[in-house]
Amino acid sequence: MNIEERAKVLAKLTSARIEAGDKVLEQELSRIQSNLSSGSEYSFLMAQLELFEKFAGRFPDKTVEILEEFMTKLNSIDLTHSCPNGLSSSYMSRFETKEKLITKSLGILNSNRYADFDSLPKLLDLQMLYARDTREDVAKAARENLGEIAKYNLRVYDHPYPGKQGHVLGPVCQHLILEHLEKFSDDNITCNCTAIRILCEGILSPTIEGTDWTYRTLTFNTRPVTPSAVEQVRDRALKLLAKIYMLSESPEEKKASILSMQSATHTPHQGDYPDDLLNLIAANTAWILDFYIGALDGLDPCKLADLDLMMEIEHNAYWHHKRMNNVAVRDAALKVKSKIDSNLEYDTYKTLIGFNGIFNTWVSPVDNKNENIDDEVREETETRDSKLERLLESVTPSSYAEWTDRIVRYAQIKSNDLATFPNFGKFIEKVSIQHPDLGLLWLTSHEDELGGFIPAILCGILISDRKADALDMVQSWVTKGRFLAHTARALQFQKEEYPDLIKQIADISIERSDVPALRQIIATLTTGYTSARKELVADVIPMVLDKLGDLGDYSAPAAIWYMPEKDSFIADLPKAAAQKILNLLLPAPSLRHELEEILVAIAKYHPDIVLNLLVARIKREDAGGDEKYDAIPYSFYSLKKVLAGQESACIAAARSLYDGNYGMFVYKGGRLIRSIFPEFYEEISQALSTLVDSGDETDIQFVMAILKSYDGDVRIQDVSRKIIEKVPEDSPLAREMVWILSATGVVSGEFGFSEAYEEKARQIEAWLKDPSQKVRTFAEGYISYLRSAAKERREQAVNEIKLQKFVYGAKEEDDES
Amino acid sequence: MDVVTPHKATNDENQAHVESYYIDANTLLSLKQHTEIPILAAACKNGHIKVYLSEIAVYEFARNVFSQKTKDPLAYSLPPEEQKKYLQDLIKNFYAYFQDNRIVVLPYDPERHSDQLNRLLSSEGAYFKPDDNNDCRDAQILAIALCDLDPKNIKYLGYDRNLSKIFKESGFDTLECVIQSQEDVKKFITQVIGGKTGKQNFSWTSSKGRIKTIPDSILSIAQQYDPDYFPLLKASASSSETKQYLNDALNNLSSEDRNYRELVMAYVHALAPVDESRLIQLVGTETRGHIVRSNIERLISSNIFLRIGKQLIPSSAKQGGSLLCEAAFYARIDDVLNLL
Repeated sequence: MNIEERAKVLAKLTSARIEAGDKVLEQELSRIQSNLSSGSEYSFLMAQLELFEKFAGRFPDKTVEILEEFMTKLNSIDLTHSCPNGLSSSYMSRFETKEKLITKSLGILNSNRYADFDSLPKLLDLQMLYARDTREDVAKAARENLGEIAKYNLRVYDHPYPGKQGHVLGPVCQHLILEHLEKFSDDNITCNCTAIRILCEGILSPTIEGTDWTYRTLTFNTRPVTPSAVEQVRDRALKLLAKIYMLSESPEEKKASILSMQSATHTPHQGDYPDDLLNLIAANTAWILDFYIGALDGLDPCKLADLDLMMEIEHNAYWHHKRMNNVAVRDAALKVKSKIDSNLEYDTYKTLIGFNGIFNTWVSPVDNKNENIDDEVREETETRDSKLERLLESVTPSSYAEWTDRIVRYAQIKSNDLATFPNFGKFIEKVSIQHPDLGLLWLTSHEDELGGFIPAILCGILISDRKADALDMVQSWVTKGRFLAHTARALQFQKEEYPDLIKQIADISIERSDVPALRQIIATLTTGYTSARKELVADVIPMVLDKLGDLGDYSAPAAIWYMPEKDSFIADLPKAAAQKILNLLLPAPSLRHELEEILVAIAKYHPDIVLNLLVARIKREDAGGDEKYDAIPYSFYSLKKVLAGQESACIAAARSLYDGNYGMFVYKGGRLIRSIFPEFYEEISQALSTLVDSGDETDIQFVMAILKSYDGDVRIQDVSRKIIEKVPEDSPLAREMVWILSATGVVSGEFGFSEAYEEKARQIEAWLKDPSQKVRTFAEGYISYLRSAAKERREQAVNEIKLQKFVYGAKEEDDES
Repeated sequence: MDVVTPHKATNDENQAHVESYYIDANTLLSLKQHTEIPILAAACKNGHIKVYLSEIAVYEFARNVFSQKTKDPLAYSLPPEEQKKYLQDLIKNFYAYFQDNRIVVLPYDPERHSDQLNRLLSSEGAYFKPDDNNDCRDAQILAIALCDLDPKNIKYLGYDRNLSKIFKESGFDTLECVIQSQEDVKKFITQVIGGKTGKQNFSWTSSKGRIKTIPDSILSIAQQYDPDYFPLLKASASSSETKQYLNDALNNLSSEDRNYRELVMAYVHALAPVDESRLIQLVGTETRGHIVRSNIERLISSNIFLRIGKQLIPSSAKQGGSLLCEAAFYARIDDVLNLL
């Protein structure tokens, strides 16, 4: 008996609950325990786990014990692999990992989370242990499981309470989770803070969820929680989160706790909910706002991380005040506001740095009946700009030291969301214009700390009366090879041209192999490009590209793909320089959208070298050696627009790739035309027809490979007809034409294939009256094949539906339909 | 579990303000035996709603099932005495089924009900006509309700508008929505399960997973009808019961056919969907393969198995296949376990 059959029988015995079956299940349990304990081969162990999950629910306590032992054991063994078809063990080990076995084990534990509430604490401990695992996949799976455990499950929630008529289990699982967590020591809480936060977020959810399915539907059922039932668990979860906040030493963890508390302020996403629930959510929100006031007392405005936390708190309080129509919540939110407003350093921080800071007037839903998002955005911008102006006014020689300290501190903030603090940059630039002395001081004394803000400072000084001093400083940097990219970036935004300086930066960047600077030079020369710069570009760009090519930096050209001046820049570029750009793209692992934009820009002026590049990439892929190399995408987005009219050239380029190996060419070079021209149209048809008319059998094979890539598109019929007329009846080529014409591509619906074949048979009926006997004979056989295939596919689909109904269940109306 | 205070269920959980309904015979007859009746029964058993039926409605329901079964050409023809016994047993079993599911069956007691009944049938311009059997039955049902139920706390559930009107005039609440057809009744039943009218995003199960259907054994006519034989679907079904059931189905066969037929049914239950050639391989030896194959064909032609492509599955409970295969599974459990 194979493993699938064994699993089916075990599943039946599990639900049968008969004495003889139970004995077998116990024996099976012992056997699997022994196998998991002694085995080391991945596929064997995974098969044991798959069998185990069929009946693990019958032995919940033993399941936890066996899987804990198994997962511990995995840490100390080396997995072995059965290697089919001569694949190496090291190759298999990339897919057959310990992580997958642990994730599977955690999944089995999770699916038995309601099997025995007595085992729940142990099960929670195991999931929490692996939730802090260093292996990302394992930790992710365990965290998702914890989220599932804490959720309100409809079936569990409404399950009758044993021995208590008229009662349901309600949030029993959530009570048990909290009961367990509340026994944790402070160290244990700190150690498991992420897992506990996930559990608390689930407990604070306002909805109960459940799913129901048949063979063709999956229904998500949701309902609001019952306020009286969950009031206690929500309070306890919030207190636990507050405890995590207090115990946390890192600002990130504190912020995460605040974020988790927000779950208590959410209302159900769908449907109506009772006022009682809204009142409970309002009470929880007011509690959180009170907590914020205490938390604010513990924050130090001199610490950037604390300022960030204050911004999070202000943001949350503002939205609770704006959205929650409840007096207690609004009063508590205004207390938070008052506390935050008294902190001037925070006000400066949020004006310069913050993207979440609040600049609008705090208006409650009672006072603001006509909310207008445009007005709000305008108010926010105006308030922030006016604050920026006031800050600018506060910069005076007497406050230089204070501002230098602040700017240097703020410049240390590392953004983790690619934000570039535009207001901060704008402010620094304006300060440098108005106070170039201060700007120069920053560049001379704090240039390393100010890092990415050097271009903003330079931009400011270069249009001030201390421009000459700035250029002297830049000159000294460039000579030493310092801040080359920063300087080039500052020049990108200057109205005045600095050709000599740019050339000097280029020379030194090449000498020092400074890739960021080389890339920046391309961007600087493209921005604001006019023909006046043509000579400089012709002089600098080829050598920059050569160097980037030597350094293998294929994505450098992508730096300019979005620039409006890109087209005129490339138009003026000599063909040889354009070729150098394309040379860079040859080793690129794939032609992403931004690289395609460069191809499009070049193809407008030099289509031949773009086609050469595509051919060279396909040859490089065919040569092998890099399994991640993708020569051409499935479909280019916009290359077809610039290559329209070049169909014959494209076909000639593809033809140059055909080596007579039809079988392989279909999946390689044969894709080129389809990739450039996703739609088959008249000009392609004519070019291919010409090749069929004038070519030999090899040319016909090539055309067939191109046609095959169009998945049986009805528009390939004209060329196909020509081929059928030309090739001998019943030849392999004629038989291949059946497959080419009958391809369907992606179809939808249970009867998709059957309907597609029937449609194809209808489309080809006109061939039955074709003047060519050969074509008529082909059509008769082809239509007969299509009709029989359609019938067969329909029967298969009907059978598949019946089997799915049996396996996954069907509602009565499904049976009737 | 002891650490948790049991949560008193609320209206949303279909527990508080449990609505009570009195269901008449026509309404009961309109409900599907395999789906709607079990859903209603499970809802009562789990305390979501409370349902009252008159004994008369239960008799009508049993008679209806009896009439369907005895008209069924596939049914075995029983001698008159056995038929009478079968009807009595049907009534007895349905009575027990409803009571097991906490549906209150109100008996008809001439001493208490006849005065009320006579008033209903004799009053001038009355809706009920004494010479019409259906009217007499409805009058009996109303008489029982008037004598045994408090109209203020119970709602009448029916789709006959005139009968609803009489109930309303007699002081009963009819439903919030006007029930105008059998479909409305069914929709209402679904909505009752949903907690309250209009809330359809609700799903639940009985304590052990899926809702149990009315055990087919209550409804089926075996060759030798055995009133004590109860649910094959129950996990606790003993092997002697299942063997008896199989005996009924297989006793005309030769011992070899019987053996193979029983075995393929057991294996199909355990392994479905199962490849037909694999099934033959598991059951038969090389020399006896043709006998196994012919028995499979017989089971397919008798609608016990369905052949889907090369796969076999048992036919639905309604067609009897899944029940019989499950019985065979219990009877031949040792053979099934030997596969492991």
